Amino acid sequence: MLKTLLKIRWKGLLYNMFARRRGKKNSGKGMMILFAFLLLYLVAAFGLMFGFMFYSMYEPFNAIDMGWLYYSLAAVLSTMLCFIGSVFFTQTMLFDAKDNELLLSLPIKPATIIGSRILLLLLINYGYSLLIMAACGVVRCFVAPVTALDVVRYVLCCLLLPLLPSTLSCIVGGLIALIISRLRNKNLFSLLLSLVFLGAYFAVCFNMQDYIEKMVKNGAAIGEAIQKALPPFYAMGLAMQNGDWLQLLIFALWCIVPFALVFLLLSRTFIRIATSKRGQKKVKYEAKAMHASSVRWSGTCKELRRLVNSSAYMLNGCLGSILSVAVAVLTLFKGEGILQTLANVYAGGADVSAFAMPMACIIECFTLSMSILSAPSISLEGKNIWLLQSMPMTAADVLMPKVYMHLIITVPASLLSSLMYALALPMGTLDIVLIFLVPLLITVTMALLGVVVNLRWPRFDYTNETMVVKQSASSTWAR
Amino acid sequence: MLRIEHLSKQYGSADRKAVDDLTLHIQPGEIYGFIGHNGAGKTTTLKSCAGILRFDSGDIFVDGISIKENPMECKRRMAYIPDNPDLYEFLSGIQYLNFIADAYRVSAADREQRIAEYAAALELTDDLASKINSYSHGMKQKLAVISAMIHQPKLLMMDEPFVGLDPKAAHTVKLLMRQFCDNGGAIFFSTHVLEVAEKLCDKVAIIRGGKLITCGDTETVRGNESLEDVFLELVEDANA
Repeated sequence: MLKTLLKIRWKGLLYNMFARRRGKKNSGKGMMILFAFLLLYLVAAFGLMFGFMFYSMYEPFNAIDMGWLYYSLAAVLSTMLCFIGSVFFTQTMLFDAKDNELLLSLPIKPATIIGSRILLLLLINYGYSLLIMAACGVVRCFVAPVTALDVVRYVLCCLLLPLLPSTLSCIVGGLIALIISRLRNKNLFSLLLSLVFLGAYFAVCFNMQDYIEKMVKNGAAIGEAIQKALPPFYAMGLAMQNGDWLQLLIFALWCIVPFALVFLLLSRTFIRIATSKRGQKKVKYEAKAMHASSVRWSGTCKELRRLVNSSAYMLNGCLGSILSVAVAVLTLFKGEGILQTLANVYAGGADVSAFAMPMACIIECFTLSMSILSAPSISLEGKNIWLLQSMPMTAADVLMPKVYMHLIITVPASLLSSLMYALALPMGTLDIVLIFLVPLLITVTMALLGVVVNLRWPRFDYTNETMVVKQSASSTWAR
Repeated sequence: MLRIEHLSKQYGSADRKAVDDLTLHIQPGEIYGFIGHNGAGKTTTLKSCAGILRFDSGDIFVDGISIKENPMECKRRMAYIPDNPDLYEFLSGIQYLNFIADAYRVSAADREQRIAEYAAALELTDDLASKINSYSHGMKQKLAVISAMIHQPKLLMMDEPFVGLDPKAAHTVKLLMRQFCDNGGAIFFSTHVLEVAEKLCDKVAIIRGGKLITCGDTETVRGNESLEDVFLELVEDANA
């Protein structure tokens, strides 16, 4: 039964990623090929990035007799990547799955149901972990000779390691589910949490080079910290560096015991989690004076309400606007310094203020174009599409509110960003006109283009709107 | 009020037509029941009439206007309630009703009066401020009924309207349907519940495999038997 459930979950995952409209098998295949290329690109990019990082760490750590730190740091990075990649997925899959009632009505043990979900989580984490551990292993083979036993130990470590982040994801996912179930504004909490994770991710990415240098320079201090605070990673490092089977056994226990305990806990509490009703506070309606609005304005209000009621849509759709304002704020405070740096690096100290407006304009247009609010908006009608089809609304009445909603969010961000660039950078009158006008034109174009792209690639048969917002063809093309 | 003339519809490369040369006429003041087994073509017919599905041949006229030529005018005169009303779950009941009223250009005064009347009749007034995602199936069905009445259509098309309704709400909906037709409206609705069709409908049509088997006054169609017996006999004959 476990195998069957796992197979169904895997199929569900693939369906959400690749399934297209009925009768359009070829477009599904095309999407799969495109996805395969993107995946290969990502694997190559991550592999190279981590490969260079590990290559620059191996020698310095061995030089200070802390070769184990090489493996320990790989394990820490792998755990972090797995955790960040799977924690939200865990919360939805383990605690908010839509098939709970169906499965509980069947003669299936709760342990089997929860086991299948945790196993899928583990499989996903193996994928994340492989990105780092493969790079670590390849670099290790490249820089020093390896024995067959080294390979066996490394493979065992790679198999055990994803158990740690999976355990952590189950615990944190459970806590998030618990907090969300007690909050009235779940979407705001989810959005803030997602922004925190995203901020942490960007901070790590932007400072990666700095971190590598610090790791190499302060290897001893970091090693000491890992030895004291993170014993599983220390044990793994020693097992690999010294070929110590006892340390490997200790590492295995660190991975397996917490995982087994969490599994036992979840399988015992699964029914309570799955059947707890997270009711909403009932608000009694009080009749008020009503106002008639135009069809398009009413549709725009509906689109805005859809947006604020979906944290995934808000996060993915508004990210460009948030980034645009954030970069403009940064320029407002550090604009002069940035110009000076650019002048020194690219112009040998010459005046580059003439390029300030075009550069600011390009950056603002780029960040604003990352707002893909209108691109999934038709697909998001989903099962509600019958409503628009059965009402006396013209195509423009249906589509323009989606454009207006996009503009309501992005135009203020564009104007605010332009204003900050105009204040921060040296610009003439024409420059100021252009820094306001060009991003506005891009914003309008993106709003219209999003609708056109979604008309070409709509998708109404999804089970989770996050998939449409993040992974649908229209969103991908709009990006 | 509703004239379906030689309607045919085939899905993709399916072996047979979902609806095959269907002709039906529904007059003002009539409650017309549409009966058939699962997959008989009832929903396809209703969706074609509502302007949701395009059809291959034939035509549909609402109040004398062709839905092919002037779908907007047809839609202004009618309302459609699907079997499983998927409404905007992110809106509250009242926000949803306001959106529908705006789409049909109903004045503020009219919508205020009609929402108050129908919501009270269906005992949904207190819940109108709650989000639709907190509604039960029956509550969504009630909201769909209110939204269908809000612009006072001339023609009401309903797909299995009593599924999920509690007995009292089902009774109220039947009263509203009767009242609607007594005021000159027409209702075309599909149902599996033959007892309901027998008691409520002025006329019935039985469809099987996309083809009309029989239609006419409920009394004439059933004769001395129950509608259930007639339906089973007709379906068996068609199978033979």
